[in-house]
Amino acid sequence: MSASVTAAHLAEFALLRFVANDLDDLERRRAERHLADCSSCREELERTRLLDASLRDVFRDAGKDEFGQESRLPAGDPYAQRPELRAQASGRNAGGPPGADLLASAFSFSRAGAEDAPRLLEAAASGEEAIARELESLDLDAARDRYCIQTALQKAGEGMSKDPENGLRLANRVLSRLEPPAENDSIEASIAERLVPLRLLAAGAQLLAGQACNWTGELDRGGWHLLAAWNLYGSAGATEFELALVELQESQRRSFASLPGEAIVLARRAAETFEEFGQEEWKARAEVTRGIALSGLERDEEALPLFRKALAVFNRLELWATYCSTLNSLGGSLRLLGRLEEARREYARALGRLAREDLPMVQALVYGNLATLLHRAGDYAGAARSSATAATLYAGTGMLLDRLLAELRRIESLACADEREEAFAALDAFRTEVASHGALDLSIVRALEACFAGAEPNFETLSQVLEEAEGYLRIGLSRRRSA
Amino acid sequence: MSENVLAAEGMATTLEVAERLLGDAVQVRRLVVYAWVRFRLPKEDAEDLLQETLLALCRQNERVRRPEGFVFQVFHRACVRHVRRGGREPSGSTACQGRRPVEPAYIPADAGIRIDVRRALNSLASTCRRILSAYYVEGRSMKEAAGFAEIASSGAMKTIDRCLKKLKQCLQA
Repeated sequence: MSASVTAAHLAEFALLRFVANDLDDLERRRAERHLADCSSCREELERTRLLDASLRDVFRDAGKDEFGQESRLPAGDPYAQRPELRAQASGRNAGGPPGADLLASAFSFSRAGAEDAPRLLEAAASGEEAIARELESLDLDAARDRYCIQTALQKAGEGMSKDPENGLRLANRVLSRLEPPAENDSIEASIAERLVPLRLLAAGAQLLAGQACNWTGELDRGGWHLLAAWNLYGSAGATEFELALVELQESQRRSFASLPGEAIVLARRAAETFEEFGQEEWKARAEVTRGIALSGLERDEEALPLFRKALAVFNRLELWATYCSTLNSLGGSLRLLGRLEEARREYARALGRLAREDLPMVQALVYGNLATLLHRAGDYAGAARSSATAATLYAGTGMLLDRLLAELRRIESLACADEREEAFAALDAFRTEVASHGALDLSIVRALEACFAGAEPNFETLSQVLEEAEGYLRIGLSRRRSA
Repeated sequence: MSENVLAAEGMATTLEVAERLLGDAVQVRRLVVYAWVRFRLPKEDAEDLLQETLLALCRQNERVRRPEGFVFQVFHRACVRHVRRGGREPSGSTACQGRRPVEPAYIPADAGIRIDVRRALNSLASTCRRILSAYYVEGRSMKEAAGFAEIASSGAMKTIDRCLKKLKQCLQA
């Protein structure tokens, strides 16, 4: 390494080592002699000091892995690099009113559109026909109506934890409404396109659909929606903030799809952008997502501080759905670390808060995880009760897959609690239910029954069959929905 | 988020901020000056980019909680893209050295430089990133970090030198 110091000019690395006081005595003396005679290297040294200070800042905020091996996605991954964003046409060159007037229109239409959005959301909650009718009544050549759709999509994203099916319904209907794109040369239509391009609306709908699929467990389908959002945002004059929103959802999806290493890269990139944009809440969400990915890599100790830091933000901002979901993740990591009592306290905190909120999906999630904890702690009766509560809550939100999975866990806990009669009854009900949906291979149902056939349930086999059944259910119900 | 929290935190909605900014000639001028000093962008171009920024803000009505940070970042990045497209070189000439704009609330100190350094880091050879990470994060000496990354060969040293040069260019931009 000393060669770099004795060269005609000091090499960059030598300068950085000089600034870092990292040269040995001989190297330092040589470097100092050279610097005394070389104004060019002295100037370069000053720039190196500046670089050193900037790097210290950046690395201090970034943490250990950001620029290490975990900072890349596999080659060919569509998310490996963000697309080069296309700029919108300039106001002066695009025709239409000059800047101030255009902005005044934007403010006015945006405000009016936001006022209309609840009507669209109510229609989505009422069902397919209502939302289709409501969307049909909107004029896509009117900026106000475009803002209305955009606001509704964003609000549905915020309320996703209340009813993902609603979100998915709205997203799909908006996408149908946007195809084929309207063709209209009127000034009104050109202003509408200038303020809210249809491609951005479509991107927002794809993002919402992808987000909903993360909740419903349709991960492949969600992946296609998110990729469509990614491509549309990239080509439609979006901002890096919107790309980060897609990365956040894609990161969650990859965690759920057992790709936590890739999820970390995306979550980190999103968090960085949210921080740069000054969006504390979104940064906290991205950090929670990173924590979930770390947990998937069995690095729960590293995930804990991320969850705790984010909790403080959500608590302060009164974002209760996100707050309770994060408590749920925190409880999950503590459970995986074997800190069962702490995990139970976090679940209790979440349930205490949820008792005051109307968030059945989040409640069901927490009860489901509490059941897993209690089962692991040997409280099988308690686990069965929690699973039953989770199943009931899922039933109320129309989440069939999650309800059936909760039922399966209940059956396992009942069997372990030696409540064989109840377990058989639950299995019977389960069999009838899945048969009506055609979602489970008959051989799996028979294998489940066989577990209870002897004098004692075969718990080892039961556990394996349950796992297999879960896989079948996911595939069967997902196919059914796609069809 | 409840409106109470917004009010308690003194947070304005995106539309309020956009309208306020548009009507605040001083803030607009500061952003325009920022675009000139940092990117050598003419006033007209900067105003157009600010308009695009405010339109983007209007489209985030339900998502953005702290619009000021959003405005600066979108504006800054729009300027960067504009410079790339138009072939204008970011400023760095003697004419503007030592002259920094009075920084409004929308412009965090050195924000642009930090973004550029981050981006440049992400585009560096992995060897170089590992060394810098080992030094700046793990507290190893440069020599240790280089040894740790097994880069004793002269070829690798050249790679590091190239990486450091690239990073320095960000500071000069």
